[in-house]
Amino acid sequence: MSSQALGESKLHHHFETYEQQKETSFLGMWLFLAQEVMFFGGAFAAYVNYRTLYPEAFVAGSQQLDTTIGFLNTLVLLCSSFTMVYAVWAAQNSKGPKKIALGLYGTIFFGGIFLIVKYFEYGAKFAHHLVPGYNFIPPVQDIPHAESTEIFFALYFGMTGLHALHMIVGMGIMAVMLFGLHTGKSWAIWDRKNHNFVEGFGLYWHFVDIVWIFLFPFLYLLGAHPPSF
Amino acid sequence: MSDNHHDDEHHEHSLKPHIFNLLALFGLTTLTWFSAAYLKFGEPWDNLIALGIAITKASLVILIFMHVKEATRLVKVCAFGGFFWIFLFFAYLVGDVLTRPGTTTYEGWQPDVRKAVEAPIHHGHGGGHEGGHGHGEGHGAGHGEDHGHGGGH
Amino acid sequence: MSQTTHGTTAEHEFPKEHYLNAAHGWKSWLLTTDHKRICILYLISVSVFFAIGGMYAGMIRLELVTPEGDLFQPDTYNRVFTMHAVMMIFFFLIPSIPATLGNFFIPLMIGAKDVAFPKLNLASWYMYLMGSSLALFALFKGGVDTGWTFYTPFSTTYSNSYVSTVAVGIFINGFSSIFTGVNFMATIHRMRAPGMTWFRLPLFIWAHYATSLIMVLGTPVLAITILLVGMERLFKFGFFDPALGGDPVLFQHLFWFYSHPAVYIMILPSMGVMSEIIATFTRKPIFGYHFVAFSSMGIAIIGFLVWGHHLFLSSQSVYASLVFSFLTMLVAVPSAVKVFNWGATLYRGSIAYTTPMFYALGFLGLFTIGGLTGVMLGTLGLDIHMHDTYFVVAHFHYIMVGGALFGYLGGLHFYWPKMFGRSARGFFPHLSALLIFVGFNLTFFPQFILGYLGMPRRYHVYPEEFQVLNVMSTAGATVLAIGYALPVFYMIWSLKRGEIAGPNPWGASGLEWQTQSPPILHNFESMPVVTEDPYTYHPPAQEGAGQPAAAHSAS
Ligand SMILES: [Cu+2]
Repeated sequence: MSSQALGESKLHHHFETYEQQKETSFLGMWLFLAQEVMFFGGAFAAYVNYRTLYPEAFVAGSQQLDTTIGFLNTLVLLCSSFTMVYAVWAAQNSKGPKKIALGLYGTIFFGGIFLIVKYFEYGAKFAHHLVPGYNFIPPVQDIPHAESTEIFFALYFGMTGLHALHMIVGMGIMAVMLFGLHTGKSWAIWDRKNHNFVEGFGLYWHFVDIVWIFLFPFLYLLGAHPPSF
Repeated sequence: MSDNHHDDEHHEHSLKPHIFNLLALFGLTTLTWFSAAYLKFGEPWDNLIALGIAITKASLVILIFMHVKEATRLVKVCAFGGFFWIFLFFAYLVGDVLTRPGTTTYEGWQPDVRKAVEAPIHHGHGGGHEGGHGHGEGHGAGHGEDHGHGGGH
Repeated sequence: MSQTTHGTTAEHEFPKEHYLNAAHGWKSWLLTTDHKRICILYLISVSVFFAIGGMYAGMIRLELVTPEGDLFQPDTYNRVFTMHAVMMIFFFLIPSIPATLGNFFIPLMIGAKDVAFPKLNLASWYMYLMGSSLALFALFKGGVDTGWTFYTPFSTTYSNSYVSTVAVGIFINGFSSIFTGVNFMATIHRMRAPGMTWFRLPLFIWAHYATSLIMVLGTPVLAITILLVGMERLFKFGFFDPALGGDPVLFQHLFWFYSHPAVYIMILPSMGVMSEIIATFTRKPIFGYHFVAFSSMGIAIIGFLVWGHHLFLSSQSVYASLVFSFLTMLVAVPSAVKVFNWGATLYRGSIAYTTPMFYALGFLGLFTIGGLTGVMLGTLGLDIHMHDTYFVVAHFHYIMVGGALFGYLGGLHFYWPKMFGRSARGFFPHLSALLIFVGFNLTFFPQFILGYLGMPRRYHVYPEEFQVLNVMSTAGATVLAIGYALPVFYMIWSLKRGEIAGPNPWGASGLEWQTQSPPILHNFESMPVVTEDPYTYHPPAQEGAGQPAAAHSAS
């Protein structure tokens, strides 16, 4: 292992084999993701708590969100997950930096679309006086705890905001990865022996996707009765 | 080194399952959206369907996109352990909320917190109002709905 | 036993090459990824925060000498006890053993070159540094007055102190803890030397594994709670303020979901240290190894499900309280398993009364008192009487000082020769341990009585009939302070002047004692292979089988 050929991926000194390095790195990532589950889980717990307390207000809040936009945005995010899978696949099978970069660019592209849509959704909330603590007016008045729709929107902004923040961080990391790929940095050499960074990052990105998979029904769908059919 | 090379060549990963997975996820997303927006199954069912589909989608992402299907048992435990753990928290939390005094039924529960804070400030008879409410709880929380309306407007 | 170790140390020479002189200059310290050096960085920083927290404790005890509030205004007093708790809990107790002794000894005990993610390990120290600096900054600007529990809506709406700054500090510090936890779990799973099976792991490792589990699964919940509080303060999102429709009980659920298990973050590593010390100085394997190992995991898991015992008087439902009360009693079972097993290990062991053993014996008694009073507080009816009195204060100080801190100090004395190659032993370490034990009991035992008589916590004035016990408590705190101050001198002195320890000054078993003291950069000359169960002490008759650890203890 001592004479590492140029252009070959790295085995760090405290590991004995590539296999050990790989397993350790994934275990670490999965533990980190378990941590993330608990982190978002705390926010979901707040949601569960208030939905149990104020069901009508939460239904009223859901109805203010556009399910179709949420639906299309979910598809966009799923696409970004697929391009991420492509990048990991390219690294895993030593397909070379170009294909890895292609996957990453795709992921940034779809992630970007998602965030832009989110930006316009946020804008609409500001316009419709649905921003808690800023200009909130309960959208529906003749239900029990109508004012508590404000908590729904506090959770909406809090949770989607955290989710978006995770995406932005992810896109930043991808930018660094792309920089490494284009300049041929030694840490950015990913092949079938060591693609741990790409795959580990992929896990992170998929996790962010999973958060949205839950946010979409929790915020948009639960109690989203249509006007009529 | 060359042996290793040879070894890995044997299980060249395929993109195919991921493509199918993406299509399945698209399908499930469409289903949950369509069902919530245009089909009505009544109170608990709509929510259960939405949650069921979300859990299915998340599992698909974890098992296939995140390669957990082929991963070691340890990784499987990590991947699902976090969800299980936060679920325990939800269970205890909701267990408490639902069994607090006055929270016995879905529709009938009244949040007293807001009233408790505002009553003494807005109305001189706030104390009396509270007392009356307390009585109502004793008899059965299902009939306390009017209090909420009164407080709200 | 002391003469045995005496005989052998004279032969040892201080090693030429070790991790302390492997590189030079401040950069080699601040950018190090060596787990042993990171331990020392942590050791220095947590000691600073222990001193700061201790100063605040001194101020509290000084104020409480007289019934009147003559030293502080009520609001100042709120800040003093809050800063005492914040400094001690978040910046001393939680990182204390895991980040110092855990960092140093987990790789050594399992025969690894380093932890799984050395850079993450360093990042964790920087997170700690950033978090604690923010807290320090808030302290200099005037501190926080909410109590360390940050109960809403006081913390979100009414408090005018530096809640946000400290909250951000604790948030960042939380990630230091999460990083440590992830690192330790990955290390224990994947970095063990050949032959080091799960049931050959020292109990120190089991305890740290359980601790890491709590760090990984609990700390993020605190992080999100702080974030929600932050959003409420910044954007007026009504998460917890009843005036905005929020539910303050939700805050308490979220907060205690982390903060009760956090008690086990403090006590479990200490229990791990205890197992090592007791096995070494009784020259026996720990009685019921498997039970002690699994009880660590049991404590971690059940310990997550008891948080509601802090909400008995917070309008939590009675049914939930019943369940939580029951589970609180249940978590006492694995703790008791440990205490009984340590007791059984002592039985007919050849006990050496060294300084670490003093701490271990002290721990056994004090932790038992702390644990049993915890069961009393977990009882629904009794808690209504004792809630928020000095009984609670005394109880958790018996756990956190008598338990966690005794483990930390005992462990520090035990591992000091391995860490620095020189021993700190003799009269002063003994005296310090004795002073701490006596001072601690004098400080906190009266508080049990005070609490039982009804003195509430967090007040700077009290009725006159409580003065005698309060003066006793303050006197005890003075003794305690002297006990704490002594090690600063003799330990620093020992770095230069202490006798050269050699690889195994205590005659202990375990991989960490087989390499030189202080260890080389990569811990072992060659990859160790484990062939024996932990705590294998050969009786003198079978001596000479080539086991270096046993050879030392026999002479
Ligand atoms: Cu507790």
